[in-house]
Amino acid sequence: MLGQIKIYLSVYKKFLDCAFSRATTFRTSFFLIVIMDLFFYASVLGSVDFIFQHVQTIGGWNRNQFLFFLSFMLAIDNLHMSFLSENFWIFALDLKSGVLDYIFIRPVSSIFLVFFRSIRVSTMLNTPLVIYFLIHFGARADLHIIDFLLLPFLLLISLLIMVEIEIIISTLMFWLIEGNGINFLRMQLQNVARWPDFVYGQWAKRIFTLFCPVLLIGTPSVRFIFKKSDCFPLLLQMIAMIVLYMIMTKFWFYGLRKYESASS
Amino acid sequence: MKSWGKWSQTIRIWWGQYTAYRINFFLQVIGPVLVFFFVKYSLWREIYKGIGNSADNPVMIGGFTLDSMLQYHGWILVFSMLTQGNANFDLSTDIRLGKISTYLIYPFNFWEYQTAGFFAFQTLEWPVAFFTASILAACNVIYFPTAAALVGVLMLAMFISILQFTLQFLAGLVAFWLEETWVLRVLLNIITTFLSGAVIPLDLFPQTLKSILAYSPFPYMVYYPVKVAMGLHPLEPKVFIILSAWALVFCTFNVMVWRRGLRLYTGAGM
Repeated sequence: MLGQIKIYLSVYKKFLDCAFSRATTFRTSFFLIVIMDLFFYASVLGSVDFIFQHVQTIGGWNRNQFLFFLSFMLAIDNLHMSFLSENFWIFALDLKSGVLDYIFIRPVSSIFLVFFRSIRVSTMLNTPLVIYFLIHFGARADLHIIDFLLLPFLLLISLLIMVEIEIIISTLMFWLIEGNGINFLRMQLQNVARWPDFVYGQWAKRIFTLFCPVLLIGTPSVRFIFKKSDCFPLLLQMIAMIVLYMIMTKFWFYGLRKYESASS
Repeated sequence: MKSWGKWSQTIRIWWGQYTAYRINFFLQVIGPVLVFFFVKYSLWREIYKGIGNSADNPVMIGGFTLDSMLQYHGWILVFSMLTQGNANFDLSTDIRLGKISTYLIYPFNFWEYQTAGFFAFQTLEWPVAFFTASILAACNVIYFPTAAALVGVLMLAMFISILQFTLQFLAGLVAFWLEETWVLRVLLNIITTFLSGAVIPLDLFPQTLKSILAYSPFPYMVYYPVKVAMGLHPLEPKVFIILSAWALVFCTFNVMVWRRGLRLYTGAGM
């Protein structure tokens, strides 16, 4: 087991090396991505801030609580963009061009190779800013030191759920010739998840909690931070994480069996 | 006449390309605007509920009641379908992969080919927009203006879509210099969506920012036409001049960037 982990870590180190050398090669793209992320953060936080200049609360949350929630979602987004996002687009391209054949014959987990090989270094440059948002709005929302200590753990669970859902959705690409549409669907689900669950009506909330549980990505964790007695959604989040993992692996290997190489 | 034949044939080719993968077309083009509307619709309903809005006690935010706010976002959905383009993606891929070499020897220019693609895209999008508008009107989310105003609004949509196309074309041409052109496309999308009032009406923006934006083309891309469609603003002829002027500015940039880019271009392996 330990030997396996060592192998995977050494492979991941190679991925990181490649990512850094690529980032230093295309410097203009590198800085444009940094600027793009900054505009994205400004538009997300700015929109809500402008709304709060006209209202006191939304769904019982005040400005600082709402901005903390958005910072939490931006932190997940930052991690996702840094370590995973690009792989979903590459997967669509590789499926179409037949490059995947060479990936599947390698003696490493196919999920690991497909979804973890490309890393975007430029987005990591904005990570300190996102951490600052979390601390700043967290402190304004009266979070205690214990809440801040819980944050990395809660962020990890939320990110895992998001990735599991996205891998399940991306597996659908095995049945399609053009996979970019699936990537757009994935991005739209991210948009739905970017807002707290109380924003949605009863039916939408049910669908996005039970069938396509994108609302379990951020809201349960933040609710738990604000109110420790509100732990049922967090429990639901943990269960979802395990169930989604099982569905993800089963569905992925089912998809692999249905895979028809584009190059053969 | 001969030229028209080329245009119509190219538009047909583009139709074929767009509709070859229909699920993909729906998820890539129509899905995002529908989800964008769904999120905003839900959000604003919750906001108004939170401040005690009811049929007996309609509350206003930035001059909008809940009905007018939902109408505003309903019209944005329709306008997004009428005006959004899809030019940049194919354009930058063609440049990056060296496919433009073929266009350089064709008797049909690269920009003509891309513009035909733009027209093909619009002709597919407009029926979808009309269908969506009819559903929204049937559900009393939006209300159709008078026939004269509707004609004005559609003309405005045409001008805006041309402006969007010139902007996207410019962003696509950067592929001569950049490896990852999607960044510029997404950046452009984030900026225009936010500053045009597509996320929240400009009435809710701070006054200083609103005053600065008045000197940019952004308010004319969403906020102004939607207000006209809602009957809250008169359709002023000067807006067509402003939109044309901005489109002309971007067209000039496009020509300059294209010429400079072409000097750098190497069609390796062709």
